[in-house]
Amino acid sequence: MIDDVKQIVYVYSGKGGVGKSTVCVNLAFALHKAGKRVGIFDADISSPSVPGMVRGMPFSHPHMENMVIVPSTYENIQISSTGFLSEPIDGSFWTGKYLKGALYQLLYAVNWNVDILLIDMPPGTSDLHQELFTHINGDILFVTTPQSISYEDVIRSIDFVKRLDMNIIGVVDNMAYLRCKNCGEKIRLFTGDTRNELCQMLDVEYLFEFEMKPEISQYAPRGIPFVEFATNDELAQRYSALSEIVLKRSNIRC
Amino acid sequence: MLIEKKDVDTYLGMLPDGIMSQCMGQFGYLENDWIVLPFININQLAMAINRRSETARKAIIMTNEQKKLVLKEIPWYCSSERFADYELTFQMRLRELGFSIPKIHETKQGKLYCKVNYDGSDHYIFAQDFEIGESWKATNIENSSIAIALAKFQKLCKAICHEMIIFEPPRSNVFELAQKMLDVAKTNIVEKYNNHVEIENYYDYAVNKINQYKKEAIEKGYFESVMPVHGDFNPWNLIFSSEGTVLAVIDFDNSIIDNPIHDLCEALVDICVFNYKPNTTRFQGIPTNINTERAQQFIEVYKKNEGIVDYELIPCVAATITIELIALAIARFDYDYSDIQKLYDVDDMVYYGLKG
Repeated sequence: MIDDVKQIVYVYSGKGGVGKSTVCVNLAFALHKAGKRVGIFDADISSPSVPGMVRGMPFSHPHMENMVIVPSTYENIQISSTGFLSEPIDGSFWTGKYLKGALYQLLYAVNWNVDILLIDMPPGTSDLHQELFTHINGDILFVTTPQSISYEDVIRSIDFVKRLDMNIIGVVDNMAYLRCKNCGEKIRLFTGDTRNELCQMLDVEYLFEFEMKPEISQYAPRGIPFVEFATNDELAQRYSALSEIVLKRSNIRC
Repeated sequence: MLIEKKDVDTYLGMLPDGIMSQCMGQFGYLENDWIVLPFININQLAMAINRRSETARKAIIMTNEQKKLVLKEIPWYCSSERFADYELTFQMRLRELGFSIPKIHETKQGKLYCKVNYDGSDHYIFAQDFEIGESWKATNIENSSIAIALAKFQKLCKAICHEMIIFEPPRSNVFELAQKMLDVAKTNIVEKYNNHVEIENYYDYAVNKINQYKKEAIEKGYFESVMPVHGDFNPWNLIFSSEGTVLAVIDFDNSIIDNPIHDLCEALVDICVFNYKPNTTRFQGIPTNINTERAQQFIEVYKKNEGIVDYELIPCVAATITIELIALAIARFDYDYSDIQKLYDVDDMVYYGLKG
């Protein structure tokens, strides 16, 4: 059951398209490489992203036991996502009793054999966010891109979690730069300054800037996380460093 | 099945929270005493319930004591107090006589169903024990179990016929139902496609064949022996144990007064003629042959268990039901429009395959 999980980290952003799921999946695999048993709950029940990112890995198919969905498993990584289910989920109304019930079957009642559970949250602030944040105590890892247009939504979402008195581990600045193949110079496509415009202003820690890697989207159709195929890359090492910070700073639940 | 065109379901097959809350209140549960389980187990695979059950809205409820119930709405095409009384009393009586029907729960007022006014119309919902079991996998043991269950079911229906008639249940027959389904299929195709010559040709062919089969059935005494029938006795309305025996029969929304050959032929055609997309009730591929060995086995087991039908009626009734199910497939767009021309003679294939 969810109550048995000692560490829970929400990977979250107020804005869509910043790479939350990519960060979540790669962080999970980095934690796995560090010897941890890791769970991922894909909280975007209507539009799950996680299964597509790992379909090149030999995950087992989920099945049901006692009306609870047993997650897909590969080595010590368990993933619970509607994206793995036998039929594609249509655009149903995941609200009210149906939302609570789906969370029961996909998350709360699941037998998580994990040291740490990452919850990949959809963007925004909705019934789902309120339900999870108020019922499941966890820490927040924010993901953004250095775009001023993202900051407003991220600021709102930081405000939202602060008012719920949730612990914020810090902010990852994703797709912060592209590195020139010839001279190695960092090319900043976006003009925002996450450290000063966002983090300093809201008193949350700026953790890392992550490079925008074309290989991530090139390998995406194969469903293999970046840290799995580019173990020695600087970005993979940053994920490793991020995993250490997450382990150290996320609270141990009683 | 008695089908007319239905309105768009804006809840996409899910029972609205408001209806469920009102119903559970009538069964004595407070709002925080229960949750809905949207995913069901189809042979160990998880599926959203509204993908599995397309004509009748259902919800699986789990109470705080871990008791599991099915809340089921009586579908739009038979939604009335009279039918609710009939359908649920029928099931209750069968259960009392030892047949495998999941227990129906009574409301605090002692009624077998709730009447809820929602969105400006009346809805009839009942609660039944949720039977945990497996879906049909077409094994020999399962098919034989279906025959055994059907024989027992029909003997009990005959025994309580006089009790059920008092409820004035709907009366119909396979020929009328096939005709109605053809009408729906034609309507749906004409609405969707500009060129609908194919469906009009098939429609004319099928109507002619239904009339032929009906004439034969009348000559053989079809309308002389009627009683309550399930009306949709197909393997997807049965729950099986892991050993393959029938644990429960569900979904009596299509129950009518008709000749019991209706249920036997529905089972035969579903088991021996049509193919299904994996873990769904949707048809896959045009039927190209009838599994006569399976049909023979089924009928033999049914006979051994003292089945009560007139076997002479099997070919013409099974062929008619084949047309009905083809029409259903067309209406649901299970087949490509261009495949309609391949549907001619499927009913003949069934007729002659089952003759003798």
